[in-house]
Amino acid sequence: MADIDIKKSENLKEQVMDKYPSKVLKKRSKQVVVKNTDPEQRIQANVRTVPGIITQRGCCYAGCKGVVLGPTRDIINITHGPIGCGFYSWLTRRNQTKPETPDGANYMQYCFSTDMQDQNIVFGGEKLLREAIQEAYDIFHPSAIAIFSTCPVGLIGDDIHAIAKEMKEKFGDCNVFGFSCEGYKGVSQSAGHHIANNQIFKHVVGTSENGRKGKFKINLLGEYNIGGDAFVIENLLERCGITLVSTFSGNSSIEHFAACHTADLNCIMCHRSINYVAEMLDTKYGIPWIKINFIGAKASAKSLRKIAAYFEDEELTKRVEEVIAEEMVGVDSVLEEIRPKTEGKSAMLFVGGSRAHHYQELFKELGMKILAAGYEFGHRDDYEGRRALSTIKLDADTRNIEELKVEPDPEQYNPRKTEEEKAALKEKGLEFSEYEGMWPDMPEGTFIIDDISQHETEKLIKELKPDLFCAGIKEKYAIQKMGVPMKQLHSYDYGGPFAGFAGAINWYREIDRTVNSKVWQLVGAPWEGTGKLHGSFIKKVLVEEEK
Amino acid sequence: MENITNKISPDENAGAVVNACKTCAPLGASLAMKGIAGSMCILHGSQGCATYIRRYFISHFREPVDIASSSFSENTAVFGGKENLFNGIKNIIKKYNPKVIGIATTCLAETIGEDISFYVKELEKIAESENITFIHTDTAAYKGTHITGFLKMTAAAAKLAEPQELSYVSDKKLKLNIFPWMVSPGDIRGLKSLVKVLGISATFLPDYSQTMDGGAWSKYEAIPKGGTTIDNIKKMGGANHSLEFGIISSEACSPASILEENCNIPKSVLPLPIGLRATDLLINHLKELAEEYGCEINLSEELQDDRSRLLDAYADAHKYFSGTKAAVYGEADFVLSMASYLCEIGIEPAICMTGEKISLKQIEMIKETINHFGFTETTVLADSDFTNLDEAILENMPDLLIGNSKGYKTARKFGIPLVRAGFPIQDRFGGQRLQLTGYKGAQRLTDEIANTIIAKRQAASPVGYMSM
Ligand code: SF4
Ligand code: SF4
Repeated sequence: MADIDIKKSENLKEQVMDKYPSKVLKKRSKQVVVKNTDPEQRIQANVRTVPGIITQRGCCYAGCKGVVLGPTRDIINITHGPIGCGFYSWLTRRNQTKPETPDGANYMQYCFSTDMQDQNIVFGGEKLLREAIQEAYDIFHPSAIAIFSTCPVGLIGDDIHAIAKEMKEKFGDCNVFGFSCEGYKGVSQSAGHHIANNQIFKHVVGTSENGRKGKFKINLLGEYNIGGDAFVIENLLERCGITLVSTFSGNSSIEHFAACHTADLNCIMCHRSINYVAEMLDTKYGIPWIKINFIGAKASAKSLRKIAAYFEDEELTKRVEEVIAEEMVGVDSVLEEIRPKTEGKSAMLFVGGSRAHHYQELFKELGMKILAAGYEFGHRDDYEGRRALSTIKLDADTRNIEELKVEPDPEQYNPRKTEEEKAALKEKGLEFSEYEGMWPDMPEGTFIIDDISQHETEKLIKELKPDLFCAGIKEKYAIQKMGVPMKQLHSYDYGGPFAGFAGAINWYREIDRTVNSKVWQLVGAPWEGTGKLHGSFIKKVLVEEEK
Repeated sequence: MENITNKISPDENAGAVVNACKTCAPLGASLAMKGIAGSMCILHGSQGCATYIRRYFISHFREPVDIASSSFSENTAVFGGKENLFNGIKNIIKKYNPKVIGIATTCLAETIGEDISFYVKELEKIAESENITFIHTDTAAYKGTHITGFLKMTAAAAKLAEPQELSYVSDKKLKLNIFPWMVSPGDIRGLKSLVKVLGISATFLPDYSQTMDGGAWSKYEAIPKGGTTIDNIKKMGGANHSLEFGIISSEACSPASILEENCNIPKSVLPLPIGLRATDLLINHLKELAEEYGCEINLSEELQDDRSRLLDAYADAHKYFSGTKAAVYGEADFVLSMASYLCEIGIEPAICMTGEKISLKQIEMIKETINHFGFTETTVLADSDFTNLDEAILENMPDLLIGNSKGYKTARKFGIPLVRAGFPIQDRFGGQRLQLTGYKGAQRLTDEIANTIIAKRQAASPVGYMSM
């Protein structure tokens, strides 16, 4: 691994940019940033991908259906469009779910699609959609049906919202709502997250008072239960005596969403996908939000302590400390064994809208250095922190996404903490409505890159030779072919969970296996003069031959 | 679940498809492009389609797969995609320096009426100045399936072939064009070595045997090596004959017929050579062609050995097979050939399901193929999805499922073992190398099916025998 400093990295950046046509260069040079000492340093993010440049980004529909509503087990999702869009988003994200009772509704394995045909494109697909909704209702009698528009639907002008309303009234016992999440909207799946959350807020939140009861009630926002992460977190919270009213949206059900306004605190994991929901819940119901992070043992401990601090309850604080102490025993002993093997190694992370930040915690615990990081669909505030919000210019793409106007609810608004109480807690170090982004955690000279392209990936790998690269499956095989170990942070390569203390332990072992795998030593063949022959059986053969 | 049985007749199109057994045309088109040397593919439409399709390929082939997009925005969707397309092409050229660029439309572009042929003049200009060949086709997913897209792009490439003099005179080798259908890289390699053994010189279109199943890199490859070169595609116009697999799909789209029309090259269409008889049919046909064109063919001992080994394997395992029933699903041509193979080893293909819309005549043909072996109770489902399969299974429980990973849910629900074959295979390794065709493909398949049956019996046995 090469050492990095600001100057060297700036040089490297120049080399990387060299290949781009001038227009692309102008754009990319603002999205590829070498961290320096300027506290006002900025990055450009959430801008359109240049046509022809291969992006890892998906579309608005993917963000809406796959990410936010995908993990919710008891809503039937109907893709209104041609077959592909629905087919590709069918059970591929590895979210897990556990119905509360063995016969509880779980439709996650189903992929409903209207499979539009030529004549539907020409004459409209509303009839087809009505039939599909009816069919889904007749088969399963679900409590909710969601409809997702794909690109062609927006253009032929099917009114999915009117149909949803009509069918909802017809059924009487089934909430039906639509999402206008055509793929061309917004610049990435992030637009879809926004549309999904808005609709859930509009059509579901606040419609039930039957939430879980408890003394310390929270919602977890932006946790999607990849690889069972949510199960680990749920277990931790339960042992601490904290009641989880709802999760958006890992291991979730529509019932929980409906009652989420009964919680007293919102804890945000993925700031990108959901911060606006927290804001809306604060404005409408008076529930404050804090940023937490359950990736990393230390970060998990810190997050639990933040929750305890919020509720200002001695008994809770004590229980939290007990749980942390119990968990840290295992963490410390595994770290002791593994850290010597990972210390000093380096990693790059390019993924998602928060993971590229959260996972840095785990690398720190392993003594590894971050050389470069960036998001696939983050916005400036996810990089620079919420200080950036006042200077983000709304472009046409963003303005196309509906902003809900929310006001304090005349009946249900109930500020959980007064401004004075909040100020007092802030004094003690508990920040409300605040996220600093990845910026403060990135050392000088490291690269911060938004929506990294393959060309940039290839150059960085070649020049900086990281010991590990973290990204998604689309990057995986190219990186491995370059001889660099790779860890998927979207689907975890079928591993995980990696959240909480138990997850951290899984991660340490996984990273040890990955960066210390022997496969990479076999890359060159011995007759090319690059590979090495070793091992006792080989020596023996050679010796015998010499005789 | 009784109300979703209404889709068995091929022309009915009502309500939802639940867990589809087909995907969209641009996927097939992109795969066909991967089989052309030095090529990059751009999907004209929103970026989501390209990202989804790449992701799908990557988890099946376990290879890096680049597919560009013209990345429509809301404005593009309203005002047209020309600028985006040409920007995209410019950027691809700068970054990849490709020899060929394939353009396929997605539903969005098609819905707003984008037609690449409007842009032919501009494309020609770029082609000339940058020395690039463009291949394009329209692939709205609301017409047909991934197979349609695959064949359309292949046909578009076949249009590049130029009529020319036969070039074989010196070596007496039969010159063939082979359109292998959407088989695996492993299948293409197998078929290539088969024709090599026979002493036939063949151009495969497409040929992604290397590009989609490559090795580790010594240096970064923006475009993976391998694929049929444009030069060789041009020379396809000088072959004796074209051979095309897929007797069902070729009725809707036949790349070989392009060569017939443009270059006067006769074609024959054969079923996918899965199993002994289908492979025999292929080899026998090759022999006849060689005779017809006065060429030599080497029906070598090696080949005879492969054949008799396969026969031996059939004999060894037949006791495990007879009385066994299987459900097969996937593309219609895959289902047809797989069913025929199952019949010949003595397994009854009790349920055959495809997501493709095929004609009643084609359904009848599948049935007849199976009836011919004395299995008369087969249900053939076309234009169907996995819920239809589940219903059919409730009626007539099979012992085995054969098809792609998407059937896992069904396998799990009924506790039936699944033998993975076809596309996509995303929950096992090796889908890209899986060979089903030729004697060797059948050999491997036979072993796997036998082992699957044995494993099930072994696990169910109270004794736990260690030899069978
Ligand atoms: S819009 Fe059409 S091309 Fe794109 S993924 Fe959907 S079905 Fe496929
Ligand atoms: S058509 Fe639109 S919605 Fe469907 S995958 Fe493509 S971009 Fe996404």
